[in-house]
Amino acid sequence: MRHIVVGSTHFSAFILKAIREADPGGIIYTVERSPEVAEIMSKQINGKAVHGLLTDPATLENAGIKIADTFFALTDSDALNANLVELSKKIYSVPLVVAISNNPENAEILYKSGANYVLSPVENITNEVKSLLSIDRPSLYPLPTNMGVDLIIMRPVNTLGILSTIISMLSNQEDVKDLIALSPSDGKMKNPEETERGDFFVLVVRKISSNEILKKVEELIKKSYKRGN
Amino acid sequence: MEISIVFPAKDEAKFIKKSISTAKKVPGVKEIIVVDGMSSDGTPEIASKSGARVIYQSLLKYPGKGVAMRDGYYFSKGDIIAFLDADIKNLSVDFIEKLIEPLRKGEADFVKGTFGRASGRVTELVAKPLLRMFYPELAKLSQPLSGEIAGTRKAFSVVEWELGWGVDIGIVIDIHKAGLRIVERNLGYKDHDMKPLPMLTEMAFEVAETILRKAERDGKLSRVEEEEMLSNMRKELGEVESK
Repeated sequence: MRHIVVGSTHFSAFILKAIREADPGGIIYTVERSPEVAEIMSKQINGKAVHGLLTDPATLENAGIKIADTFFALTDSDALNANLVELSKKIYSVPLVVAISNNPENAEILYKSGANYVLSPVENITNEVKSLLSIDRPSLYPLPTNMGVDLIIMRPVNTLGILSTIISMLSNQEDVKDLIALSPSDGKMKNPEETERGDFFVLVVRKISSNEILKKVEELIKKSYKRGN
Repeated sequence: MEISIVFPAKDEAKFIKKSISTAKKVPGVKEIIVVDGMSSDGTPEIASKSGARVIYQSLLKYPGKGVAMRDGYYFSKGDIIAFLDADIKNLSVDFIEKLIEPLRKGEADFVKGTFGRASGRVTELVAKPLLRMFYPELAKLSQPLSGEIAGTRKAFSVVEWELGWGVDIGIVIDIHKAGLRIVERNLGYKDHDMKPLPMLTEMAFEVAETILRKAERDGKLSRVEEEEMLSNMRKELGEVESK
């Protein structure tokens, strides 16, 4: 495959390595404004360097955008990434366009610009923090729109009580696709009967009803407190 | 020629609606962009309802003025891009027209707005002396750090964006280096809140750092000289602040 990677941030160095690992024989073009930086990036993954004005179609054509299979907009400006996504998708019809959203608030703008997938490292980190602190506070992990599902994660105090109510929800609702119990120490899946305080419960829910389900889970937790079970 | 107006904004709920409605009235304005720096007072929602395109600052560093301006430039589509503070209490159509007029007439590639007052402390004590040393042609500008600017897309395309307070002087140096035409236009009086002294000290250092870094890039001084000058300046500015 032929990949184009634009941007030289902390994240792009790791993403370049991931692309090389996923496609050892692929051709990777690294595109940067400065020739030195483009060269350093390309050397890391045995790729090819192209330099020039990043939004200039001539620069991207030098990297072979007309026949590229993937395009990664990874600069530290979401506005520039949106620009690059628009060029690569709407002008050059690159099949897979991926952008990074440095500020998660800009993810929607990147999707609207034509990105097939938006990477949001900040959102991943903040969700992780929320789930660590989510004892009796279920939190919603929105997944990319094209996946059609979101995750609701919680760590209920009263596991058996809450679990039985959630299982009854599962049997009644089409919107809840799965329920997984995980151990926080090693991340291994557990049988529902073996769960204990502090375990993670992950609900896979349909995206269109994820907010509604979140509210229902919050209500269930409150009710379980009132019942004292 | 289509015009984009960019307002970098953080917690400007009080002013943003009026600023947008004023900018909309300027003939040729194609879009108004608000780059929000994580406001907590509803600025982006008000801006969006008022008809602006809103984007959130990519990096929430402090100071983030350069990040906001850079993002605004990349998000804009116009042939002319004007940057204005969102909190100008007396912003008017005439104010904006004066700023972009030389670009419309093809008399300049970049315009710096100036105001009917003496230039600030950072300008007189830091920016101008350093400009005289390394970029004497730019020392003639009366207010080289003013934040009200406008330029053609081509002019901004040559800028290597500074992310903090050094952005205004960095833009001028890069556009000058590219051989493009820079003019100043007096915009009259600007009614807005002044920054407190500690912020000015930090600003002074970043302005100096930008001029020296660009001078080193342009072969006007060595890396060792640049570091020595910055170290002396940090010491002196620290003393001013402690007084």
